[in-house]
Amino acid sequence: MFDLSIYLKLGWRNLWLHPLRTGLTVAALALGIAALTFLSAMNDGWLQQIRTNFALTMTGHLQIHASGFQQTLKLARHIKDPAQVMQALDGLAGIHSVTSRLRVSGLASVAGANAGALVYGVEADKERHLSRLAGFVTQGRWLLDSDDRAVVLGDGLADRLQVALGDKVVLMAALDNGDIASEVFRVRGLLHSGVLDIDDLAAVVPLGRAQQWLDMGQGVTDIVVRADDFEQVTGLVDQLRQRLHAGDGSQSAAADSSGYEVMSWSEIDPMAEQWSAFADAYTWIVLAVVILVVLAEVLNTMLMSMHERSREFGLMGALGVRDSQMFFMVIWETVILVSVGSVLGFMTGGWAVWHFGKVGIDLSQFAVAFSFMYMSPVIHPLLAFDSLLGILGAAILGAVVAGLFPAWKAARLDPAAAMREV
Amino acid sequence: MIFQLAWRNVLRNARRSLITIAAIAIGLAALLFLWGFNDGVHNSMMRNLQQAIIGSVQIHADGYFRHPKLSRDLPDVQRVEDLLIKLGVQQYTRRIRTFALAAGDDNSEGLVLLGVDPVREVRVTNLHTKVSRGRFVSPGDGNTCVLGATTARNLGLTLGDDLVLLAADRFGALAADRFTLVGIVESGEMGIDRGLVVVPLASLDAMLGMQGRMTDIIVQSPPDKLEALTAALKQGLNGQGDAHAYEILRWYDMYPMMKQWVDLENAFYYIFLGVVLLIVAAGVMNTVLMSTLERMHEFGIMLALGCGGWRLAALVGLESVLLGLAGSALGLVVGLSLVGIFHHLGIDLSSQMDSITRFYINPVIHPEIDTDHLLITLASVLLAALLASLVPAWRAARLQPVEAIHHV
Amino acid sequence: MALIEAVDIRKRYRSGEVEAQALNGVSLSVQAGAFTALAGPSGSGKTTLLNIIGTLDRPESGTLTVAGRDVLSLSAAERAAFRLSHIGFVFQAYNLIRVLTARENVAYVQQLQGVSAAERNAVADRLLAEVGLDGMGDRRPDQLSGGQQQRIAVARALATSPDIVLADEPTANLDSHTGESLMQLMQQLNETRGTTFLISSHDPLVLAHARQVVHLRDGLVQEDASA
Repeated sequence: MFDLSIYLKLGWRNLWLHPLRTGLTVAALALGIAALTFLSAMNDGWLQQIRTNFALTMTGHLQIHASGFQQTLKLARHIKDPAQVMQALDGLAGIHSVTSRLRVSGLASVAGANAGALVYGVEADKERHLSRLAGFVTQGRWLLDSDDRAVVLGDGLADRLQVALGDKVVLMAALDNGDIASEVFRVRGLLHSGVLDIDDLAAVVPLGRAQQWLDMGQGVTDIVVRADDFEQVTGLVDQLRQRLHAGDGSQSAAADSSGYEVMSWSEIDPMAEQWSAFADAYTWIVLAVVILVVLAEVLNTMLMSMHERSREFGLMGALGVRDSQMFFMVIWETVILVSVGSVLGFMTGGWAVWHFGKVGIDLSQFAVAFSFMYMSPVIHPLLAFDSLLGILGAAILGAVVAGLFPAWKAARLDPAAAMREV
Repeated sequence: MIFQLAWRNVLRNARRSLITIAAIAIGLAALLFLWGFNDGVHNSMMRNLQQAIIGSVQIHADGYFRHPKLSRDLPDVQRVEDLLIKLGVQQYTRRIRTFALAAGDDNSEGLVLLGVDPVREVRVTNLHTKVSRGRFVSPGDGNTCVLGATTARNLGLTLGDDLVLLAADRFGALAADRFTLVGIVESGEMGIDRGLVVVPLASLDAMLGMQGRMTDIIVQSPPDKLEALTAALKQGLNGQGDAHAYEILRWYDMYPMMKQWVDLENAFYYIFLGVVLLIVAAGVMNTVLMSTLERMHEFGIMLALGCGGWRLAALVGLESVLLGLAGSALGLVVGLSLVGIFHHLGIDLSSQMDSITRFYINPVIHPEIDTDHLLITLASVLLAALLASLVPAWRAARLQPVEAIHHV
Repeated sequence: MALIEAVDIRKRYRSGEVEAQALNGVSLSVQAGAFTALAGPSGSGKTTLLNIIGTLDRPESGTLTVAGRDVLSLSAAERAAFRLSHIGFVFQAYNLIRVLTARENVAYVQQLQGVSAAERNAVADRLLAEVGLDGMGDRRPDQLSGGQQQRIAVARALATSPDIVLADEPTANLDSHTGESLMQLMQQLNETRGTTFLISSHDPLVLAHARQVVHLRDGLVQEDASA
């Protein structure tokens, strides 16, 4: 068999014939790869953050509703017997906590001003364990289980209504028979989450009072589950759908209103998924362009090196090296060049990811944009294995492509002509 | 003389010159394409946001944006509109905006209630183009309304149904009126599809007892005129005596997240600009260095003939300038052509992402490039090419003639 | 039958406006074991003829048999394999691969044939000793003199035990003393190993060592004289 080790040696040593040139090329490659690695890690870090923040701010990892509720938001489609659902949740592994909510859209008004509001009836103590809502309270306090007519308002909503702690607010909503019911609450706390939909709309009240006010008996609209981590979600959703004979929330008004729907966080609001798809497309375009520029540089180096060594290639041809062997030798050399650059690039990029993953990157000046996207302004880059493989694959594939032209030229070299060239 | 020599050297080494020119051109073209893509996404995002409903500039009574009480109406609508006409603005319209509760059969929803002038509104925003069923409110309508698709479904309403709207009137008392649903808007954007109801201005005026008073004036302006227009409006409305009776808000004063997002992504692009520049510079340095090596012998003879080291350095530098100029010119042509072609064709990302209308992004992206980004990129590439030639030029300047002549 | 049998070889080259290095119907016969010089001024077609015999180049017409094979009918890959096993080359300069050591250069051709590392290194060391470079196997070409480099080239040409070694102006870049000792080396190898040498040169030193001299002028063989 043909022994390849000589080409390893040849390729490696040829690269160092011009240390400055090879050094520059390797540095350019490493810089490109490091930048891509880091970008990709920023991206992955963001997406992870968006997912986590989204799920923990309010939505939870999954929710159980009466069939058709998510699409219609009609109080008529509520869970009449929450105990039955709780039973189904019993003994499932991977559940962090569970709480019930009553969710209705209505109007908040004070003398002289009113504004649209999303009213959440919550179990004060359980909610504190499940979502971050309690932690977002900036003035006053979170609800207590003993509270009755207390409300915690989003700070945007409070500002719109110009109410402060201790003020009275009237909440109005339509009952499921169409009548409008109103109830007076006293402001006990203000919260700021950074998420517009919550800060400008949320009015959080005790579940019991909300049930009474809206004439719901024991009924609730959402049973919210926080899983131990994201990996558990799909399994839990599947199991619950089976246990409850539930749908996935895509069927709306037509569905049997006595059934349930079980929805994961991404089904409740596909925003995070959409965003990640878009960010991926964006990253891939940047990746492609940077790889292209880097490969133009590699091609440039290989062509120069080829040209310089044409006499040597001629000699090899004269000695009996076959065209195909010459071809693979040049490809091989390109791959070595790119591999060295890539390894350095991954090490540099990896170090940056590790370092900034620990300390975080503070981009507070863009805070509004971040909170809108459920992102924290301090980013902790996180490198996903898939992204790493993608970059590596693109670099190696690119190396082969960039090597093709010089390799083809080397294989086509006429030894007699090459030797004549002095 | 030295220029001629440099020019001939560039021409003589056609192969190597072409490699260098190509390296610069590919780098520049790639950067321009990236900017084109980036600016295309951003500009269409910002355009879509402004045209969807909020306009480029809104004029309210001072404080109305944060605290929209109807009693805080615009002090003098006529004065504002006269000023707009004087400033040559054609795309403007007036609105009444407040909150309302819409009652359906068995539920209710809090909505933003917009009273619009049916004739002027369609010239300023493109909300009417998003009507998927029925029609937009039109002149001569009585109590008609247009709803977002999600809200209509939640309320269980179809075209021709009646909708009862409850809102506080100008004096704070609760007013209710009945509107017939004539159109349904489906934009993909949550804030519009859910939570918005549009009615004719006259009907809302009557319901809320506004007697011709307005809350918003909406102006549409091209991005490059926005700042000047805002300044002129501030000067014209708040300039004399009656201090700050009006608030003049640009779209990003009201909704800063998108502007910040664009700024953030641009900051990232500048980082990538730096990275690509360094890579291009490495390429240029490589080729120029190699050419100095190959021509050692020639340089030695020139030095022996009495050409000073710095003159030689100038020659090498000038060659790089010529290569840089040629590469930049080529890159500019290729890059702008790419942007132009894809602007025309559009880059269809709809297979990568089902729908991102939530972010006002069209899945088909039409690259375009902002002039400042174009100039900065072009200048940086030229500068990088020049800087890259400094090392070889310096080397040439320090050459010893005898050594150089013997160099093979 | 002769080891090399060339009949009516014709080849024209154009170099810019000038027609150069043409062969206008060269016939040549070299017996196995010969030590033959191909003499003539520069531009007479020596290198072209050597390249054609070495299957690096093809004539426009004529017939050529080398080691019993009709080499003109071989494909490019077959010619590469043929060179590897039947022909050794020594060129005027730049004979060696810069980044390989002396031993690696000599062993390289055997490696192409798939000979094991131990065996080919042993062969290389023995050949290096034979050409007088014992113990220099680990040096790189740029650490050796021109004469030493040419000796390594000779050692490499012999590594695959070819039927014939083609040397193109091997002494052109050497001083007369070094050239003399290189010629003595080749002559000695010809005698001890029986390998055929065909050496192109206009160096009188080479002609003095040759047992047969073929003169080439204006693309034609002028006389076929035995020394």
